[in-house]
Amino acid sequence: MSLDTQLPLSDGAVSRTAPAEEPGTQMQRWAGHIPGELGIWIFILGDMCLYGALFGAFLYDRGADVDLFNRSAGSLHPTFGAINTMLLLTSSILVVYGVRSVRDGLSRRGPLLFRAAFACGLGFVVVKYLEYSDLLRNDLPPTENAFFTYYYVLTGIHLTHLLAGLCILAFLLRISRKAQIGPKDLRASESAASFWHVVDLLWVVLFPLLYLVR
Amino acid sequence: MTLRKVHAWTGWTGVWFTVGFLLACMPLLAWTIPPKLSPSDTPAEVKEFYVDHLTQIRAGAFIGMIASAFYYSWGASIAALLRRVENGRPPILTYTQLGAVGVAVFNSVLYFFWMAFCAFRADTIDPELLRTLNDFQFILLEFEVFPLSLWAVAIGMLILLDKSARPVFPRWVAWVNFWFAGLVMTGQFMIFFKTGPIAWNGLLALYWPAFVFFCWICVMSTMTVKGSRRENDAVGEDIDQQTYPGGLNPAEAGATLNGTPRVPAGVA
Repeated sequence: MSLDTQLPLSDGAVSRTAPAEEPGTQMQRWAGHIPGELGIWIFILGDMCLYGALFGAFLYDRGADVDLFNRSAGSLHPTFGAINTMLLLTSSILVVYGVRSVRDGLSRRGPLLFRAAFACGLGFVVVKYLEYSDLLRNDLPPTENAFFTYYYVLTGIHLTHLLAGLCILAFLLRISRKAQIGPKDLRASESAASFWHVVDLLWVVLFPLLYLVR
Repeated sequence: MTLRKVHAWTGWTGVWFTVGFLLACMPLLAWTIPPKLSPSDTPAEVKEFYVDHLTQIRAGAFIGMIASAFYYSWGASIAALLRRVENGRPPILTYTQLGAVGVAVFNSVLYFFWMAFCAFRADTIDPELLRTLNDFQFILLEFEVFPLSLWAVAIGMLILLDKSARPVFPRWVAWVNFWFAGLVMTGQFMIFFKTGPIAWNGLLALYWPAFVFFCWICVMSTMTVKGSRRENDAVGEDIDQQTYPGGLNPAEAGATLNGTPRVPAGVA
């Protein structure tokens, strides 16, 4: 599965920078490795089921009144969405490098990267606040029509995930500042990072679905 | 009948509760999952539904009320199993679970009570009032989710904090609990909407929380059965005397301990 192949590849990249480590042993160590613990993947896949159901329901209801959905989507500002997409993608990359720093024991770079990722996440919240208040000023509340109900529900649930994700980034920051990083810390940081990537992934699907699909 | 068997059955009561609950709510009986009514129905439509299905709704309430009883033995068994994690410390998370069990059972009982109540004089009641009573029934079913979430969080935290060599539940079960705790909450906004996915007959208020809830019950039931068997096996039939501070019945003591009277520790 892709999960299994992902880490050996990323770890292969690490081995270029990590000193005195034979590539072969690293590959062996990560063969069949699941990032984080098994439970977090049950959680994440369960979470995706909700989004799968919601996307399905959105498309089904959209099919019933395509005009209304297109007209309503037209009153959103894709710029807000695009900025947020960039912010989340950037934060995800920062988290990837942050976890590598934790793994490689680079105690100074890790905290810096996680702080930057956290700032991107905060930026997302600020943009979302501006966007919501702009919509409400223009008299487009969740009860306006089916599209806006979905818009607020989907982005609202995502925002809740993101806020949980920010707490998790704070947790990652705490791990990265530890003097001694044990296998448990590494596993916890991989679990936490996986969750943050899901927050990013969901937004990458939400953005075109709500702002761009016509 | 051994205690080990009884304990395993308390785990299965979760499944009995689920089956009974769904049976009571499903079409042919109460028609609440999936609901035949919607929040946008007129009072006359609500009344017509009730009058046409009086017997079924009452039968549903009857079955549901019986099923609800099994909810608390199930909740209590999880709390009791996880109690070991807090051994020697204040059992705060265990008590949190027990409080939640009380609230959850009350909610389920009140739900079926209300179902019976709505149907009791449905043929002569004012339709407007009946619609309001019916709304109450659905709000009762779907709005009470956060107390359930906190219950699952308490369970999940205890599982993650269980550092023993023989954990009560596997670690991944904690994540199933967190998943349930987070995602059952989608129903909470149902009080703001009368149409769409968050209205009380919508995907987010009814079907998704119901799906998450019954997944959770099934996973936790299976794990509780396994856990209670494992715990009982670890203790064995020759239970240490410390577990009987009141002293063993002499006949029992003679039978199990080859006639050597053993004095419970701390009693002598």
